[in-house]
Amino acid sequence: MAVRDHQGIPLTAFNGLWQRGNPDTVPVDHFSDCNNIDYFGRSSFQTRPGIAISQTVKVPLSNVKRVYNYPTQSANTLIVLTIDPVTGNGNIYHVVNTSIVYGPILTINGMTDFAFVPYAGRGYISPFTDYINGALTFQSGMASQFLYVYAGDGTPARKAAGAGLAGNLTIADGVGGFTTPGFRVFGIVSQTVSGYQSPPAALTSFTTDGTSVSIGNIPTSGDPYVTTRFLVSTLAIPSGSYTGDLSAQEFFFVPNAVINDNTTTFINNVSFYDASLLDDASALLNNLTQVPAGAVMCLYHNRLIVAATNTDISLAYVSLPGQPEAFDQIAGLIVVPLDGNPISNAQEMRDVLYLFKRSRTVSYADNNGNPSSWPLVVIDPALGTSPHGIATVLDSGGVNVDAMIIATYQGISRFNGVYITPELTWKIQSFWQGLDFTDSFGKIQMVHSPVQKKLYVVLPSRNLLVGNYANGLDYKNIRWAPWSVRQSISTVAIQNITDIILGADIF
Amino acid sequence: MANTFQLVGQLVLIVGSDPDDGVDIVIGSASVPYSIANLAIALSSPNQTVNPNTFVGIQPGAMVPAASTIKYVVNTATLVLTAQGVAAGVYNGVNDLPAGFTPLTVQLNYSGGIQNVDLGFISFFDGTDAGANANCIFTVFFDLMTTMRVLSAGNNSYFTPPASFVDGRYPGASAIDLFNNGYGFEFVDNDFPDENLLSLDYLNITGTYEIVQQQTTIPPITVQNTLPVQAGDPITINDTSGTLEGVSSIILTPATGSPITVPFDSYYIITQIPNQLVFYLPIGFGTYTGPLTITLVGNGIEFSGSVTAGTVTVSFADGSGIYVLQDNQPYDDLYLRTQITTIQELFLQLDEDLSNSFAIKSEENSDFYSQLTYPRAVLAQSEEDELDSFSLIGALSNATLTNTVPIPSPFIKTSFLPPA
Repeated sequence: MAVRDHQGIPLTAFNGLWQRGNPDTVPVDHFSDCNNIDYFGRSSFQTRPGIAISQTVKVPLSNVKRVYNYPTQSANTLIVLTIDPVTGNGNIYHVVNTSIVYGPILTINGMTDFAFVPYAGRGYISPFTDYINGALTFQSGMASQFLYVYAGDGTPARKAAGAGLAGNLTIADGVGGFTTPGFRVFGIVSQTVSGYQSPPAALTSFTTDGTSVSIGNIPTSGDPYVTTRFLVSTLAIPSGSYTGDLSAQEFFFVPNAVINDNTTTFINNVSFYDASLLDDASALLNNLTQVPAGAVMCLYHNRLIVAATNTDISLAYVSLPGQPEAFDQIAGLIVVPLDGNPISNAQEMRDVLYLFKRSRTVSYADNNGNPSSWPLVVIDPALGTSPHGIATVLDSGGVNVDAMIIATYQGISRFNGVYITPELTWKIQSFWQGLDFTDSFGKIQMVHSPVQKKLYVVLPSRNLLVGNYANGLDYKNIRWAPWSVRQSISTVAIQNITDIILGADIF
Repeated sequence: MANTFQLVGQLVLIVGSDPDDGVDIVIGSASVPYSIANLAIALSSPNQTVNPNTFVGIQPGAMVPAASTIKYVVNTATLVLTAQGVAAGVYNGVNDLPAGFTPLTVQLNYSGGIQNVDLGFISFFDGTDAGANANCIFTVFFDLMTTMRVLSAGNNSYFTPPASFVDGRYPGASAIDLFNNGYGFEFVDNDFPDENLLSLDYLNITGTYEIVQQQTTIPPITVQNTLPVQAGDPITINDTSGTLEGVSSIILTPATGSPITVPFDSYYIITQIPNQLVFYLPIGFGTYTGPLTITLVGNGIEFSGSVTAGTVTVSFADGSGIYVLQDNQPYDDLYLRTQITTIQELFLQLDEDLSNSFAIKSEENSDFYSQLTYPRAVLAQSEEDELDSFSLIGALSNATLTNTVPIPSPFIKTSFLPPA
């Protein structure tokens, strides 16, 4: 053998894993297999970074199933779901930093996952779990469970929304002052610390004589989170048009008739003219007093979306703008065309709300009307994603540079209104399609670190797939590498821009 | 006396010149025309002195297709094995044969004729053609694949192959071929349908066999790990016989719960050479602690079937929790939650003159406990004035420590590099 004349083949570029088609066709600048390597520079690689413990407390959280970023006013914190392997209780903790943990702030038996949306410092939590339909495993909200709100201060999460007060008001003419004379219905709206206003309740009719009115026997709430109560009233009801139904009226907030506590039971000498009743409270009558838990949550136009409830897997509840606990049970609904699959994700991009099923993508656009009137556009009848299949961009949703990165059955794709093909995982098509999605599509979770120019993907095998796109975010230039860890990686998040948080469970 | 077998068989008439694309007709099927019924009669004829199951023939008057094959199908035949205490018995088809059955030689015997009919082994009668006009061809196959002999004969001819022949006489044919493909004849009549007689004398197929015990022991395969292992720990298996390269699958079976198959890929299989197999213990056993039986499955080349390599003890250690990627850290730090830890210490009541030493000792112990990095609780502590000869101090805790481990198996494989 003439070794002397042998000419070496210089390998000058390392463009990542290639697992597509025949192994003999792997380009010379790619790897046919690799593990636990990290790309840096234009064409270099090294061993992946090590993992370190993230908690210095004496009893760190264990059996971690899900981690979300929870940006509060003062810090970027984490919300963490763990499961007690003995009791089956799902416990949600608020991890403020490496040494401070609040909780459990919420404990629900059987909770295996949850959806989370931070809003105005609070956190909205929707517990969900798996259900099996045929050979496939899907996710939907837990039966008999609800949307919860967490104040962010370590106090237990409580059920969002709430029922109106019960009771009857005692109403009498006040001393002096003024009202528009006539028959009308008064009521009380309670407001919680998170701003949720209940439907008008304690409805009581009274005929004002032109003087002010004094309201007594105002009920207080057993809910310790009720902080404010408002007096509402109808306009004077013309004689003969009152049907006797106290609630079938149009209510308005009475100006300045506010009780800023949950203890006072009267408010005296309230003066108002009907012309000053401008702030409509009627819509509150249709509010859900408790919001069923769903597997999907997102924000759209300052509205909270809750979808895939246990009983209505293709239904999305849409809150009123700026009131994430106020869901109109008549006009605040969106029904995605039924196909037997639940809504699996939701994301806003460029003023459009995209809803996903596992193999379908549709969109709705806010037309300034009720959500039930928003027009439907089918974006893709074949591609969709899973509850954690849209890459979270840092800690602020899933859109970066006018596009989302979405895990679909065909691979990981960029989505800018349509799925861009070839998909980002084109080079590792065999690897991706070799994953077991039968009961684990919902286990995929992705985060996107634009600063590091990396995608981190939790795989059904409970390892990681990392894509480095420093050379370009397209199917040719992204460099993929599987990462394995001794532990079972169940979730991933980014904290403080570049800290990659990994959650490991007992598996 | 050698082990012998005898085929007591079943004939199939295959319509079509190509044995592989013909339509198989099993004798006895009433739904098919031609001579099936006659054959059935022939087989049950009281005049037959031979084993009716070994006689084949198509009676006069039966119509034979222009191109036909008569095939002795072995894989559904009844096989009678005689042996010196090994595997003797009657078996229904090849698939029913005992494991390791291997035919060594085969004999096809034509040792007689039908009573009062002096026919050869194969004969045919052309009803109208004669002499040079006869235009029939027999091709005798050993296994319907390998041509043994071609006979072109005229009217009322017969053909008698050698009285017996053994495996190996005809290149390409073997005893195993017989079992795989059968034995038969192709009959092509270019003057069809003139011919009306085709008869085969009785046929007896016998041979010798042995039971080849492929169940080889692969001793000694040993699991090197003697200490309890946890998920992610490498498990090393040694084998002095050098068969471990033939392992294609590893099954781990706990005493309770479902077995787990180790993914046979580069992420889990660290080393696979003839004498050693090293793999990472995968996740998936939950909180299980106990023995784990390791079963190796062969790839059918070095060995087939499976062999138990041994057991390891799995010790559950809860390493779950919240982690963070740490740049420039060349190892992984994992949580390590141990089981309950108890610390016990005996105190011996001391003489008065040694009380100072005792006090110092107590102080030292106090410092010791306060320096522990994990929570602890004193279960019982005797006051000094209550000390008996012995007293007990214990500390019970669920300790969470950290465990530094290497990053598992970083590697790359390049593409196939062609010669320069």
